[in-house]
Amino acid sequence: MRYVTALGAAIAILAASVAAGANAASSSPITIGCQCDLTGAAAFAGIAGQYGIQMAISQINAHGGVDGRKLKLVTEDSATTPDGGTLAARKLIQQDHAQAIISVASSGASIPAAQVASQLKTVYIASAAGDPRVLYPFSKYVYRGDSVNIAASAAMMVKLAKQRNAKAIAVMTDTSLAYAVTEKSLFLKDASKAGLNIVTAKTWSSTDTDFTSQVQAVKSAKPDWIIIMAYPPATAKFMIQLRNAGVTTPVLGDQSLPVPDLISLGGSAVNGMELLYIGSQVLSDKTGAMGKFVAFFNKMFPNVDHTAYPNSETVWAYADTFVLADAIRRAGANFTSDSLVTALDKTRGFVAGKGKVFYYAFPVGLPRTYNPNDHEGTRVLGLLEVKGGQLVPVTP
Amino acid sequence: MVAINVGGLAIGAIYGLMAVGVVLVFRTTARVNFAHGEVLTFGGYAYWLATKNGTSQALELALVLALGIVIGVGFFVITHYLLGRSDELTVVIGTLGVSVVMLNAVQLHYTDLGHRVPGWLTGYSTVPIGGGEVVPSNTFVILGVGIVSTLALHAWFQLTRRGQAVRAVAESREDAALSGIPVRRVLLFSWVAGCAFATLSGLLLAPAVDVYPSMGGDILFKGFVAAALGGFESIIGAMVGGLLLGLIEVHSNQLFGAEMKDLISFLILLAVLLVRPQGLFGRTQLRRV
Amino acid sequence: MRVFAAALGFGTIVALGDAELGAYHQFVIARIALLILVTLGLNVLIGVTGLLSLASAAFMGVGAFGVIIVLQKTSIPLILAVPIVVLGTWCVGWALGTTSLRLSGFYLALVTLGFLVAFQTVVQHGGATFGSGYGLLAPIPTIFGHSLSIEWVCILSTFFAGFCTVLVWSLVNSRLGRAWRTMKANPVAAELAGMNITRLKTSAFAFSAAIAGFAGTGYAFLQQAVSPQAFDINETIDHLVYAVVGGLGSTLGSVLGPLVLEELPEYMRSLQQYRQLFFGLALILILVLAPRGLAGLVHDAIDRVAPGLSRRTQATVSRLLGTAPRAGEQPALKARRRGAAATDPETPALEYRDVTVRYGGLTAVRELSFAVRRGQIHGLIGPNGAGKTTAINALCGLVSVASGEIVQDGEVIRGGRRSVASWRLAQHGVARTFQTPLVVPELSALENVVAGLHSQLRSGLITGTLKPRFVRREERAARSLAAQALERVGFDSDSAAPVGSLGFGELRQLEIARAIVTRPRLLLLDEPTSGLELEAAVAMLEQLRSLQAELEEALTVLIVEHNVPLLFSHCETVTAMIDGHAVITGTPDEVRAEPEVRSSYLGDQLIAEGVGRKAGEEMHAYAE
Repeated sequence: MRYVTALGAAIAILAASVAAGANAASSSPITIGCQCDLTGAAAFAGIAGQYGIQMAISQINAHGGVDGRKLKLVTEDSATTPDGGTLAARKLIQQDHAQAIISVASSGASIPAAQVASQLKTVYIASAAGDPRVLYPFSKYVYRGDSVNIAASAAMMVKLAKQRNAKAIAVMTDTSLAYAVTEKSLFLKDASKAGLNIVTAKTWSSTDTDFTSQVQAVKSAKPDWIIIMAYPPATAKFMIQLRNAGVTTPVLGDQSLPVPDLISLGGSAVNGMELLYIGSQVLSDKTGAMGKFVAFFNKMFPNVDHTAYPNSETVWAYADTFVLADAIRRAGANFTSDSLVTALDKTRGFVAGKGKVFYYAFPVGLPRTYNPNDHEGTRVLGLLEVKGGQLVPVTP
Repeated sequence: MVAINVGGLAIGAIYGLMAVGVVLVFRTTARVNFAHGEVLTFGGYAYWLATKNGTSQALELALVLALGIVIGVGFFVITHYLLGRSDELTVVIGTLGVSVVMLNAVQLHYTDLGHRVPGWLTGYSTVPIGGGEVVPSNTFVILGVGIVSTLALHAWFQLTRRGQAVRAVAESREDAALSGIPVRRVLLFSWVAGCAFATLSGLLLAPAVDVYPSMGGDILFKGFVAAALGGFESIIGAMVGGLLLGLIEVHSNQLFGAEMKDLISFLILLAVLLVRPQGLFGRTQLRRV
Repeated sequence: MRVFAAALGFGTIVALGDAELGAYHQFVIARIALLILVTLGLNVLIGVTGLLSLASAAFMGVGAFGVIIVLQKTSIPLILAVPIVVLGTWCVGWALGTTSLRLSGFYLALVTLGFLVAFQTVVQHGGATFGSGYGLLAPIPTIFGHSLSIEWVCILSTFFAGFCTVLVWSLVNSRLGRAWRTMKANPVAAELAGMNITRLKTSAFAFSAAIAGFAGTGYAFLQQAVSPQAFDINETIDHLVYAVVGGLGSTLGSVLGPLVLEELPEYMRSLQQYRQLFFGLALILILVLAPRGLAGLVHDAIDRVAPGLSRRTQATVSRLLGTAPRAGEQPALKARRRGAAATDPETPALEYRDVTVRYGGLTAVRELSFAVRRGQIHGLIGPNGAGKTTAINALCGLVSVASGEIVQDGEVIRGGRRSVASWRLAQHGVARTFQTPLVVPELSALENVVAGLHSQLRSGLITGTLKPRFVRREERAARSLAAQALERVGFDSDSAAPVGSLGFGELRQLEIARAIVTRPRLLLLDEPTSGLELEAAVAMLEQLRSLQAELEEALTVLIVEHNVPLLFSHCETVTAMIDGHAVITGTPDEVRAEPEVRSSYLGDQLIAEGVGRKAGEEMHAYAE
């Protein structure tokens, strides 16, 4: 035990000196923690998001960093599990001394991770987690990034149902995902208030590969509209089996689904699907800010699977990194968690790339505003359609 | 209804192929390979890489089988030489260690993301089965290849001299050695054949579930249950056990929901091992202690 | 209560050490502490008892999910909830353990894997109670109204790890631990030494499950959340890696395994993602190169650097524990007996009445009938395949009697409606040796003999661990009796030496010492001289005769032997068997004269066994 005690003491001394050093105006790097689901069901999001953060940080550092200090990124994998989330958050803060955390992880991993970050008084921005419980109970350190609070998704689903005049709705939910369970209960509540008729509600798990019973249930319930709240791999397989069974009913997918993975795994079966979308531009749009973003990404990561990345998570995490960097800039070189919170709460309509400071960024994010009692990120939801193997916008 | 049964038989054929591979090894070596699922996974990834590079279908099959042979040699070396003198417990734990290495190697290199692959010989084509429903053609390829290869193997064991030599080793190693049968070569053959069956299963399964790191590990347990239904000694019994298990699964899916199928497999295993250890098709009434 | 005090002390020391660490390292050590708990239990099950279980992660999960559900759904306070959950896990472990009565080796591993799969199904699809498949958040633990911070959870976890390490060490070095090790080495020998295999197997399973469940409750509060993926096959394999790399069968190994394998990655942060890969490789390497794990390497290193140190340490510990025999003390064991010698001296000590045994499609023993008078040394001879060993196996309950009865001292112990279980035979005063000495390689020679006293000792799981005064007294008595027994059979090697260093003859002596240490009424010797040189064989039989003469209570001996002349010169009566049937029972002279016996195998048999032509001719002359 002695060497461990000695090592612990050494770490404590080191940490103290780093903290002390940071308090004196030094040019030591700012450690940004990235808690991402690099493995597990949400890997398609976590891996993509990590690229986005890396891209933003490399751009920032190439232009002198923030307040003369470079940004250093440390990553921990939360493995799409809640205990993975708490462990990752703890490691980032206590071992790696991250001064703020951006997470690209499922809500299941992010909710407890945010709690730990809050207990350890560190700013936590949940880039991809839409569950309301991330911000509830409210903590001043926890923010939502580009992801929309799924109460908005549920509301939009009701609105679309009314527009499409759907008389018999089937709801498919992946109950192994925390956010989907919440989304389903919020939707069912809103739907009953709006007088919508739900004819069947079936569930599956991210790791399922056989959807015979769910498909059979849909066939016998004969809905005229199907809503899916799940991640791409299982959704793609479900759609293949659904279409093979001869069901041609139109399908709406939630905001987890507009990623290239859905199309590469689903093939022609997902054509015609409508998908909720958070973003200012579609990724396949080769023009404008998005075109430049994708080109820069492909140059920075030449060996990555370009059929899968970048995806919308990359864009969200990229934009959120700049939101954080901007707040750090305003809090000053020797910022503390509390001064960072104060600076974040003064964010008004921020879009990186549309101002003087971060002029070099690609303006692909949606405007961000935070208040001391409102830490929600984006509130805007759009609609996409899968057409000819591509995601194209639809005006709702 | 037809679709359900066809689907059940297809997944059952995969379980059966896994079981055949397990039994092939177990009969002569008395060792069970807990990394058998990962061998299937390797086969699936090999197939995916081959399809990405646009090779011919014959070459795809050859590559997958060749990989199985190489892996089989590897396992033979590990279990016969490195762990040759170890007891059963140690070898089981050893194969678990190998499964960890294999799984993580795939995960690290290719991440957890899944990859869609076309069916071998059939691509993405489907076959109508009435009522406006279609079924992927690959389903029939699985059934066909599974059943034919099992029957062919069984015939080989019964009719050829080499096959009978293998059966002799399975009966008693000492007696076989005394009769001049090259026992070590037979053991090597068993491992190679068992692993080739596993990689072949990977090629057949991949189009149905996509290629991802735990594709084999996820169904390893089902393969063992199918082998138990065959009493761990009969090739035909293993395949029939697998087909039966597949059918039971899809029908229980209908009746009790998709969640119960693993639980039902566990209960079947308990019932077989505790009540009728020779399975449905085994001959010897062995005490499993 | 010395063991309890030592456990408290050790636990407090490591807890204080953990409290001194920086926040992150404190947490890491606490996680390691929980893994140590699981590994301690797994080691008892796999290393000591030899039962391969892949369910350790499931039992941890039962504890983790269980404590959260109990706290959320009921108003039971934490301080009661944890013991309740641990007790529940014990019961589940016990239930799973019953499958090990019929299965072993890889079949048992398969069933435990199935249990893990079933557990996963329940927590993934059990609905909102189990977290709907994505997991549960743990409530903040509170004791008597005070909520525990993470630091306190860390300190408590470390304390319990230290506490339980001492307790488990004591358990493994108790009557139960000896019994587990004996059963692992050979279940048949264990049963005939009076060990109830059923109880041993289920208790091992239950114990390892309960301690894993306890670790699970700690996990829930340390990680503040639980998910199904935290308790899947990958986690179980991790546990196996800790146990194997640390050293199976060693308490030190249970601590070293998790400590080394979890501390090392903390210093190699950049290689974090390869952690699982390294685990798998480490497992294979250890299995091939250093099967006794890190603990084995440590022991070997100590033996090389300071030979005799471990022996002296062991001796000191025995003295401190109070289990080493004390000078001047004449301890005695209260005999635990069933049945008694019949009062009528004419009642045979052993009688076979028309016993028929069938197995494997053959009739191995056909209407076998003979009787043995009390206090006699009775020989059983016959050619290969005559059914001699089967006849003894039938007595021991290893094969079933199709018809007929075996009667000991007037009491029917086989056949008929009442059959005595194999493990109860020791209490009936029956003891047996085997064709090949079945000794326990992990125990010293002395401990092997002490194991034979299993049915005479009374310590159980709890008393064996805590070692109250009566346990210490009976351990001292047992060791003293064992030493005497070894002396009596002429064993003159170092009794504390590991059994692996003993020669074949010494192993034979050891086995006989183990058999006679309980002062049996009936001693069954199965080919006791095989493998021994003539001189040693004669010496052994002489020892038996003098032993018999010394004992107060009459000792009846039944010897199965191939070496016929030897048998004839040392036995008072002999039964000759041919084809499973007793041809004649009588004095050696009577048997020798029987024509069927002569024609069938005397002389011819000896030459066939390669005794030597001269010897064979001599025997022919002898038989004349």
